[in-house]
Amino acid sequence: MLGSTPRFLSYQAGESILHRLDARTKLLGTAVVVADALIASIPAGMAVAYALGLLIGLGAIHLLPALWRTLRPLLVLIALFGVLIVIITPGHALFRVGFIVASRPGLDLAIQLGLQSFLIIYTSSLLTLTTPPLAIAGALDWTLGFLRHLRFPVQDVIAMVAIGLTFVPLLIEETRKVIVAQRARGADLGMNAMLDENAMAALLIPLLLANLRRGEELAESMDARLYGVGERTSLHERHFRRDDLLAATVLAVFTATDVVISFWLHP
Amino acid sequence: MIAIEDATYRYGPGDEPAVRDVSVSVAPGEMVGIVGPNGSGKSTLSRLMKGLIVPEAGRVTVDGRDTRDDALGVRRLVGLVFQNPDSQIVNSVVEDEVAFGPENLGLPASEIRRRVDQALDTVGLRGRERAESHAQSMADKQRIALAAVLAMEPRYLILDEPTAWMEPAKRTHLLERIREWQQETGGGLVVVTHRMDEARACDRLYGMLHGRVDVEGFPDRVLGDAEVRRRLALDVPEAYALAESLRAAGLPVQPGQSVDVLAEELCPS
Amino acid sequence: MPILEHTGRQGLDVGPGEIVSVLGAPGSGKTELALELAFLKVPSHGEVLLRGINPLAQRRFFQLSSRPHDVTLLVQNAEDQLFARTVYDDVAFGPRHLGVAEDEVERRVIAALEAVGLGVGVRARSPFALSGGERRRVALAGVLAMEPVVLVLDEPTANLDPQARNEFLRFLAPLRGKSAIVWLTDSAREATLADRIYLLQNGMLQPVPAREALLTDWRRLAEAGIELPAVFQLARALDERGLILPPEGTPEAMRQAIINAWCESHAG
Repeated sequence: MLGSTPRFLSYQAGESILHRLDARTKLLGTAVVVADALIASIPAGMAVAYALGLLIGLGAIHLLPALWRTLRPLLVLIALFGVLIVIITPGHALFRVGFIVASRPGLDLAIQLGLQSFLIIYTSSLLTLTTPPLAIAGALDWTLGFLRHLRFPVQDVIAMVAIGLTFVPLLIEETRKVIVAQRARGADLGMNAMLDENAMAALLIPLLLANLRRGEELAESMDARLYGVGERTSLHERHFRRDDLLAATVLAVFTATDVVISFWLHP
Repeated sequence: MIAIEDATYRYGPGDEPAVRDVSVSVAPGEMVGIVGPNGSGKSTLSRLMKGLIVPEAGRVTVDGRDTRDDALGVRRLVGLVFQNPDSQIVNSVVEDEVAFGPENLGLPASEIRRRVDQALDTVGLRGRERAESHAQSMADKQRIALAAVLAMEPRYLILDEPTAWMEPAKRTHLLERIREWQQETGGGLVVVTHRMDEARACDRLYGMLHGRVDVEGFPDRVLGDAEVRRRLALDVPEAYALAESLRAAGLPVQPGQSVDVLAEELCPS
Repeated sequence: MPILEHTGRQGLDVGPGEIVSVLGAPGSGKTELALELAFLKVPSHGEVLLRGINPLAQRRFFQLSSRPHDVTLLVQNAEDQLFARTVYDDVAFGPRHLGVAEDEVERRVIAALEAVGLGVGVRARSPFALSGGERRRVALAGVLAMEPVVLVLDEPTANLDPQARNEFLRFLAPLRGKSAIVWLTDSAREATLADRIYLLQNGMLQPVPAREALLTDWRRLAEAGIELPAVFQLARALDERGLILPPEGTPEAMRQAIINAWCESHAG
């Protein structure tokens, strides 16, 4: 083991309110927050959307510090894009530095896009942090079930993606292991390694082999447990409970407020 | 009864056969050991018995079902726990992983619950239902993988190096629980191992070498021969070698005993 | 003066050409220590000094890494990291990466393969066509070809079958004196092959004063979660049953002592 595995945004076991909600509620809830963020006006509508986001976050409050640490670097990226948008959007000039012109419409757009993307990423992270990948798969399957009538193999595709997600932490661990091993025998796998075909091979081939082996073993172990043979049932019978009704009400109230504020009061 | 009859199998068209003209049988209630060095065909045998691969010559039947005609029927009867727990756990939550097999069988939720609880009981992981499966120690992941197979209630159970990741104390404990499972269900048990103490606990042994059955018989006979032990690359517990050297020096000890038994024989309390 | 020194974890040092073993139970943090000693991880306490200086602190701002190339680490299950088309190219990877001239690379590769008992025959073969034990030895040759001043081995015999394990140990013996070696293991028997031993417990290192004292110090080993060799387990059990045994440091001497003590007690 190489210290602690970075779990990033993969599932963390827990007993919070968000953990207990039905995966379908969380999935649809995430979709609603995304919609709220997209329609929200600045600033009032967005304030409502962020209040909703904050309220959801309170449902898994113990995860927020770790989530903040993971998302912090993203703010830098959002800020960089923001600056770019301010510069390249034409319109009434706020100020200029040499030949660079900062425009008022650009600033508005940057703020809007920045707030929208952060809220969307934050909410979907809460979904993946509190819901096992296979449960998300089940919820997606339920939501997109109608596609099956179009002969689209919904369940298989979703399960493949979900299992892939489950293995992201192991993949990261494996990558770190290979990097350490090759550095340990003299390779500086820094920027110049990108240009060195041999060093890239030293990194990629062991990684590829390890993952091929893992994929093969995984497929075999699923075959061995008769995956995909018949109709699946579930240990957790999915039913919406009072919590889910409460969550749906909260979502509906905030969304209605958001719509009213954004379209009629402060468009 | 699992019966492999004169089976030959190769992984690629030009490859050397991984197993060649091999015949192996496992009866219900029996514990059969398969020993031999790495690459001798042990894992190929377990895949054949599980119906994951079919032989190119000869045949494999489980309770009369031929793996060639009814691979799914065979897979229901035979449970296989693979060696590396890391690449057979597909669910992030322990109980979901154990439920995965019964869910695939289409069982009702109450029945899945019963099987999950029972399987976790057998491997000693009750109370860890909601834990995160990938964050457990290797030894515990191996127990999760075993529970996931037990929950399918197989008639035969194949364990590929079941205790490879475990410390000695936990090792014996898990083997005892597996033996209890066998006594309760009357199931057949196949243990693939390179550890001599595990091989000794079996009713019968097959020693594999270069894809063929090299020796076959009762553990005492197979393991009593030092030349066979060396050829099959068996990991002999130090206590066994110690007992033999003490015996050679004229001390009254029996071969193949644990340290505690040796101490009792030398200084009865 | 030690060639390599760890000032944290209550300290570890190794002199030029010396073999030092670190004995720790599974999960005691051996891999983390190995990474620290090989300058692949910055220690959380103290620092690691090579010839008295910390090379990581000497890093200039435009350098990505100032990891010294004459300290190498054989990671656990190192055979999983082989990648080249031939054994020769795989062993040559490190020196070539350093920019060593090709005739010098050849000399080093041949010497390294010889040191691990792999002859001319395997040079042009694919590393993937070899057995597990042979591949582990190719991986060892890969770190030897760097001609390290310090070689760190993280559980070098883990997951090998008994025969391959003995073979591997046989090839470690002639390395004595060429490089300083830090050997991390959970086997008390393997640890006693070193010149000096440290016990790793809860991330802290404790030197074992005399090599011979290690195995007789049952209580201490049991506390650290280390499994004793069978003959010492037996000695402890007999001791508890009242058979008087002299404190012996090697398994062979202990076995003889048990035989002698038993014969004496049954002579009358």
